[in-house]
Amino acid sequence: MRAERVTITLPADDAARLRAVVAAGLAPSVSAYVADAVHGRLARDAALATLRELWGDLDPDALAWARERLATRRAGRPAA
Amino acid sequence: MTGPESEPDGEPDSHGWVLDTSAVLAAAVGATDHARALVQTAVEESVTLAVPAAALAASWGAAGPAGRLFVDLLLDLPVTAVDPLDAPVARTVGRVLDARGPLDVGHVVAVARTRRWPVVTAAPGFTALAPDVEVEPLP
Repeated sequence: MRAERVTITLPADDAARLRAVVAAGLAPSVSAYVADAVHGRLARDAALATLRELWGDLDPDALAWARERLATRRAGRPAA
Repeated sequence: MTGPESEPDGEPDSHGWVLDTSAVLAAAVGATDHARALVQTAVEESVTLAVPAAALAASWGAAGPAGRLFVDLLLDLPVTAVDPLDAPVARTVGRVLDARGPLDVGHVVAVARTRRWPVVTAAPGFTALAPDVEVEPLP
């Protein structure tokens, strides 16, 4: 895959944490980590755009229900 | 039982949902917005949606030509993982069913137990087969 050099600016704390992640061997490089994050965000945004194009605006009550169910899961509470 | 074939982002997600046949169909056909809202929320929040292969087959068969487009859309999402039905999993599914239920239900139960995730369903009656499996009923 063709790669292109891009200069970005990060909050200093994030940059330090990112270097620590790489130093710990949890990512091959700062560039690889950022590229992976950007790729994931682009895929998510493209998927959401497709869903909204095909499904239109969903019922707000249904969206509120889904978000509440996810929040419940993340909080470790049992299903209502 | 072997684990899922792949994770959308390469790593297991501690939070996710297993979609059964009725949930896939509900998202594809869109009788109400709740299944679609759950799918959209999963994409927004990077929550994995596991689709057992047998549930995919059953929903594909029932969706009809228009519905199949939306099933394909679901499969193409970055959060969707299709759990395969290979030989080890098939044995587990056989034990789950014990000759008592449809194949897709058995595979859904097996995947839910492996992943320890709730099953999203519009047909919660299936839990008679596996009362230990947590269910997220679609309204």
